[in-house]
Amino acid sequence: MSTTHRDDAFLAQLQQHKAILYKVANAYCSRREDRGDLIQEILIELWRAWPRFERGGAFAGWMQRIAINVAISFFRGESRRIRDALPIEDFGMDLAAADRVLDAEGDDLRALHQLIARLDDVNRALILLYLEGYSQDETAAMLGLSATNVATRIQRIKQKLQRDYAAAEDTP
Amino acid sequence: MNPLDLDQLKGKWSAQSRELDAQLTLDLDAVRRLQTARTRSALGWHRGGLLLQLLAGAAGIGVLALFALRHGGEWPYLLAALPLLGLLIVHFIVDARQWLAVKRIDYSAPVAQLRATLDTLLQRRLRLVRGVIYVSPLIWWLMVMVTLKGLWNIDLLDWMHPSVLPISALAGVGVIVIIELSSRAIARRFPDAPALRRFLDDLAGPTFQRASEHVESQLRFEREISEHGAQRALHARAQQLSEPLETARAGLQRRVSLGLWLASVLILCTGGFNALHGGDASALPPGVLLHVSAIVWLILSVRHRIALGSPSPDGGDVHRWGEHLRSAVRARRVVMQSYVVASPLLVVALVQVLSLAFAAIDLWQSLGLAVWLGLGAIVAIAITLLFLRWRERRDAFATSAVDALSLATLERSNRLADAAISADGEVPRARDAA
Repeated sequence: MSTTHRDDAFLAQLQQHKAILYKVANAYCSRREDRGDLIQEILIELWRAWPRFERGGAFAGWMQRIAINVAISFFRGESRRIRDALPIEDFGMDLAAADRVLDAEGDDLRALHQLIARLDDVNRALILLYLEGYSQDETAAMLGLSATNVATRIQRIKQKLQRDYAAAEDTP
Repeated sequence: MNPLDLDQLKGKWSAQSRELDAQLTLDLDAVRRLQTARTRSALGWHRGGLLLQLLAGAAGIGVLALFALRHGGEWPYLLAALPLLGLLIVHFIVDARQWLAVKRIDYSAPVAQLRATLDTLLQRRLRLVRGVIYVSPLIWWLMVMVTLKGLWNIDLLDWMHPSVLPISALAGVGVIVIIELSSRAIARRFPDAPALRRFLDDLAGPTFQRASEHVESQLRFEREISEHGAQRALHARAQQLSEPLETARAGLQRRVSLGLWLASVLILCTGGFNALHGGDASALPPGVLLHVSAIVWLILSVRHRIALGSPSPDGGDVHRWGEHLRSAVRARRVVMQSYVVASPLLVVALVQVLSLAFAAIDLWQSLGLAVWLGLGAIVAIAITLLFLRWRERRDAFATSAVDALSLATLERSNRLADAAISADGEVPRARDAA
């Protein structure tokens, strides 16, 4: 495959799964401008890692893994900022439109987002992958944990989310 | 109160994802433009650096050509200037070709093609740097000669013994052989050693160094993912030295740099002494012994200094960094211990050199053979006893003396390496967090 075709293949795959960018950024950044920066950072890491992507592999899973890895590094403030990057608007990604989708979500989804924001970085990644529908084995492979550990952690997160939700409901 | 049912929310989550997909549009060309802008910016800096080098190179060629013209009648200086001129011209041509190649880069080309072009440029640059390193041991005397003559009209040939140039040329050939053999051995034994890679990148220049460090960081990240899973890779990526360790590292780096300067001064002084006493059989052996000892000291200090470099620009594997530092410290300690073992001989050599240099007294002649034989026996016995003690105590041998010889950097570096390695173990893993 020529390099141009490879680049086009990357962009085509990216186009199909672009919501992952926003979802991960939204889970890890509360401020809109940070989300834009994080999306840029993820895009660049994806582009760099693309030559090592195994053809025939699942792009969404690969993208999700890298996006979460970048987000965690970014979240900890240890990733270098891109000084000479283009503004996020230049990607044509209207984050305000995406924000409106979130604004229109139901109470339960909003509560879920708020509760996810309180989890630590690894648990946040776990719950994101769970909600995206990845199996325990796939999640385990992505995060370098055992499947049993993933199951235990998800169970604990579910309980924690329910406890926190109940506490929030009880608070007048 | 409705409990939060994650399984039920999965459906809503997917529906929201679909809606987000519909709302978000991605301008794919903008992604390309982003990459291009970053690459163009990085290469712009590189091209600026190359332009400065070209200007400096052109000035150097002009000055040397002028020197060759003005000293055309003095054949030793003409012969000394010509190889230097040739080297500068080759350097200039390579720089100019590289500048043109960077200028001609087609930023609309596929990224992989751009990457291949940069790799080719890097290889070309490394070949040039390697060539300069290989030639340096042969031409450094010529450079000193020409510089002194050109700037201050000092005729070094009048001061130097005739044997100095052939001996240093022979020593240069020996150094080239040693560099070649050791670099092959290192490349064979540690083909992917990051420290070796960093060293080569240092040689290639800061702009390439930055690019290469980033690529290295990416490769390490991907390698960690494939070998140990994402969790380990995440931690490896996020690790940095803690603030106290970073402060200690920076302090040690300054101290080792000071040692580098001292070693360089010692090399220059002993080199000058050897140049002035080239034909003197009672001066040259102690002078050469001290000179070689200073060079080995310098080489080990350079390695120590490289090992004390920051783990990586955006957080690297601190554990591996600690191990590299420990390995550099171990090598330096062994050499410093051998200096302590050889100290009786080195002290005698130093006394002879200082007597000749500052008091013009040749102790070899003034003390006589009998005294020297007695002294030689004492030195041999002392060295043997020290050697046996070294074999017995190994790492614990002469720790204070060894540390003092390294300007108190060895023990501190060892503690820093231990702290870095143990700190890595304390990084919370997913299992611990659970």
